[in-house]
Amino acid sequence: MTPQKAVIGLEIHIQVNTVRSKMFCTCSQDYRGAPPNTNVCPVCLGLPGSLPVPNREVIRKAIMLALALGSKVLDKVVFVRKHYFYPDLPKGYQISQHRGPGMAPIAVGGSLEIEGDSGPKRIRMRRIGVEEDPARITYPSGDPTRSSYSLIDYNRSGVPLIEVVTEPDLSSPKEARVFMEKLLELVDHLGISNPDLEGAFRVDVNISIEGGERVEVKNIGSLKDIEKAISYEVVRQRAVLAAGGKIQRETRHWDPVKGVTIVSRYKELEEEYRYFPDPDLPPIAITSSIVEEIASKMPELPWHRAERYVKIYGLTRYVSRVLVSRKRLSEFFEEVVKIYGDPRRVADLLINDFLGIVNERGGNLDMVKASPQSIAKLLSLMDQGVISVKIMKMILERVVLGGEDPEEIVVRENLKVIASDEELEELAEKVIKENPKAVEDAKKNPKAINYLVGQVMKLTRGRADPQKIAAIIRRKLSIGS
Amino acid sequence: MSLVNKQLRYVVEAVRDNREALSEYIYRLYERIERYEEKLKGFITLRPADTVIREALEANRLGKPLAGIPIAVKDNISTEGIRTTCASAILENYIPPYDATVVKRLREAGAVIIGKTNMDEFAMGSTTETSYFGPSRNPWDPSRVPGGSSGGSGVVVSAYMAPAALGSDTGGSVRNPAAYTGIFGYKPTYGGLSRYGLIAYASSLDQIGLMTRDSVDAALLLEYIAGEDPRDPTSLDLRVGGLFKEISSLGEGRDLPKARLVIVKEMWSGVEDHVFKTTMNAVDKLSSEGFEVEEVSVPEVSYALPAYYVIAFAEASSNLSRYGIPLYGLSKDPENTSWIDYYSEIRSKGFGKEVKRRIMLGSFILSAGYYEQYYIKALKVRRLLRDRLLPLLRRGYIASPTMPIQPPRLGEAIEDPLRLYAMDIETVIPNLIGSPAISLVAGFANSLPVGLQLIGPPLGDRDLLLIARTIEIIIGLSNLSPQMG
Amino acid sequence: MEVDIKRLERLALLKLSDEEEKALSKDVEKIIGFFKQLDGIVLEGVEPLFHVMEKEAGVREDSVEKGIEKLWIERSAAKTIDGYVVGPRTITGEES
Ligand SMILES: [Zn+2]
Repeated sequence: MTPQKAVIGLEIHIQVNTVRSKMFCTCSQDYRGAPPNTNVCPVCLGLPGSLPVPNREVIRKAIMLALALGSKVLDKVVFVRKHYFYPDLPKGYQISQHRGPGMAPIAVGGSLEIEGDSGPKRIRMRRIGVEEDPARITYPSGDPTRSSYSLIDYNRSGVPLIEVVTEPDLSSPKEARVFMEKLLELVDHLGISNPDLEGAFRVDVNISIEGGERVEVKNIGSLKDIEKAISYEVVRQRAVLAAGGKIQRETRHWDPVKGVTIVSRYKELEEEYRYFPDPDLPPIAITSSIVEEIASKMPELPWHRAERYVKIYGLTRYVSRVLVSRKRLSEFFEEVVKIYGDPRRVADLLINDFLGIVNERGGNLDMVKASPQSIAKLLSLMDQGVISVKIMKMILERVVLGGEDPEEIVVRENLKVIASDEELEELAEKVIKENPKAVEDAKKNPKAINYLVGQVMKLTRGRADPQKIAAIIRRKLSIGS
Repeated sequence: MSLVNKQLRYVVEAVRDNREALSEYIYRLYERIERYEEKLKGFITLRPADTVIREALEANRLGKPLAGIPIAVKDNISTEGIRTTCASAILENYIPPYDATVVKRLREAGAVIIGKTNMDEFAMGSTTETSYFGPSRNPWDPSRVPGGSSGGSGVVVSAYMAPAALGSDTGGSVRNPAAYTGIFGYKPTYGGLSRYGLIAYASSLDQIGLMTRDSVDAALLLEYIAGEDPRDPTSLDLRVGGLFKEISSLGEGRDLPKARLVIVKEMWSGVEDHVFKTTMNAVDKLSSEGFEVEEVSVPEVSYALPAYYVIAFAEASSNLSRYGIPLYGLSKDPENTSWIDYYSEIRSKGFGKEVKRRIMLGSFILSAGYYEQYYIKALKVRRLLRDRLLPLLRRGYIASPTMPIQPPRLGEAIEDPLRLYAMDIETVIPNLIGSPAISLVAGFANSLPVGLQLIGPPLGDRDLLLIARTIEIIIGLSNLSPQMG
Repeated sequence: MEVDIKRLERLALLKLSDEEEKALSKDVEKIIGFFKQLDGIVLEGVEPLFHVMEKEAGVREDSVEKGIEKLWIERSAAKTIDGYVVGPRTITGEES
């Protein structure tokens, strides 16, 4: 018997961390690094009498995302109040968007095509809206269950979020992850959000197994956890059903430390949001000319960019997709190509060596200090035979993360390839003398020459072409190749 | 005669170049306060006389237009550094870090806050009896209520403890106490005065208003505090520039402007006899002075009151969900308490009975299954009412008694919520349709002032105040002095 | 009875004494009866009016201004530690 199909829908909250101010007040959106409760005002503290004033730029960005997803932008934006009590919510309600009498989100419908488990698949959107982030809560012991109080920092309160709700079109944890990656790529390219910042997105997942009730798993903060939480929940639900049990319609929370979902208390409180249009915020009209104007300023979409790389630069699909996984990377790539030419060579260096360094440290491109010029220079230095591949790999990290000039490193540390044959001949001579045993081996088995080549390389500190050294040694020992 | 009994505009003129007269005037106000405040309880927070005088003299020295005049502010309007309680235990010690826009504008114009006035808790009431700090009393008869919810503002203006006060009006809270204490009350068009800093009761109905000794003083202050506010997305421009000059010159030789008064029959049914007669007499007098009077029937008006209360409670339950937070107001040590227990305890301790009642009903109205049955329905009535009344307001001003009954004695109305709510039957209508409205003294019944309410078209504030002034001149009952012991 | 007082208490986070509950139930029933007067009016084809002035909302340019002082928070909050506002436990007693 095949297991019943999993039906998965996502509710994604993406921080609009590319604007200056918060959603409804003039505090800085960039709350990271500020001492607690120093980036606040009456509005984002929800003080009595304060009133929200919407940030125009965030609404424009949400419309842009809607257009990129082919959603229908509605002709007016209505904000609603979503009520629930929790210590992170200073007003007892969150200003959000919803559908219902008198309510309207930014956009409805649309879709995003992903590479599904069995081929290309269209994931439909239900709605796209804008809302405000709650405050951040931490605990003295780091663990809510073992802390006798909580610590509230309102600096994050009011940071703009875009909420994207999908139809339940995803069928596996992997598809959910693939979808998320593509969506995050998109918001990155549109200049809506830098997805690599800590806390840049959170996801609520709706999961049901065909025929069972829907379970919502709330507040998942990383791609890995999304995949894990869904896997856990699918297995859990199938097990309950297999044992003849019933799945309850409920809300659960993902515990990333224990790797399990836990049922939430006070379910009723969470489900009774008492939405109604916020009387403080009259609707904002979105005319077709506003929409057209936004559409005309839309940056190139990542999938169009990838296509261009395939067509114009002759890159493979895979390489193109990796290059557009972040806007900054693709822009960087194009800059280097502009200076250096040879897109394939540039792509190869970026994907294999450059990204290797970045990914080792968490993958956030913000740490990159290299200029496109320095990478172009690095490639040229290799072409001109000034440095070897080995030297390139050796100094790349300092170029990428330290922003150092590759040419300067090479000069300062004397890393130039040894160009003179005499010098290499001398070194080869020396190695042959000092390693009679290896010389014997090499004469018997031509492959064993590699040891001698290695010894010469060592003496040159990598500054020579191993092929060239091999040729010299062969000649000296009179071995054929 | 002492300046204390004069209208604000005359005081401002008299003290503008006379700092001694200014201190003298403020001392006199404090004398009155000392004498009557204990009995009348107009203030929740009274600022020390020397602080007020110091600030007043400074504003005067700087040549600001209001010359250091003291003004009383209802205690639900935020004042930086001065506690703002909403007459609730839950905000007993709340000191806002910012000024409401109207307060900021008043201060910039050279007015000084003398104190924060008593009110019904969170403006939920029509008698000022739900105040956590105890009820205010009517200067005309201290056994009676001064009306509400801006009762304290009515008291201090009527009893010459301040020349003018800010109130707030959600369903009559400025006009009701104005009528009961015999002063002028003005609720602008919805959005006409910024709500930024006004602690919300029901956001779509709330409006800050002015309580003064007559319409001219209201026009003077209005010019300084009106104007769109970038901090309030619902705020509008009333275009009242030059109004004070225009209104001051009315009755000086020129013919007074006349208007048509629209009598909506349903607004006169169920009105107490004395009140009916006194107000109708005033209408008759106006008619004899050249006002046209037209009688119409608008049956939908009978649904205004339940619609108003559904909307108000729903919004109130939402607006008041912010309280209980450990950031301001009533609190306790949060340690070792679950958040549900913490919030429940603070909220149960901090809110009074009427507030709890309204929050619970509002939560009910907005909850799944009842939202459409009550809330949406009430909003449909709201539209219907507006669609019926706006055409009438294009023809003339709707005139009615401000209050259907004379001020109840303390304790009389508060026991039965429906009886309490019924007091608002006339005054909720302008709030529902966004219209500006005023209350002025139409006459007396049983030695108590009786208010006439006049409703104008939205954004027609300027003309409404000019007509109000005309009526004041014809009836001749402004700047009244209650006989006090 | 249409109204479940206990449920409303949970929704509004109010804890009432038995006495309060009894008094309030009575009032609430009465007031809801009063609201039912709205059933008497024909509202077919009438759209609800959410914002009375039907004015378009003011929006804000994306700019930053200074907020309020930390000192105010330290004075106002029930308790602060290192600038954080101390809040109650975010879980209930049962979970641990
Ligand atoms: Zn803020």
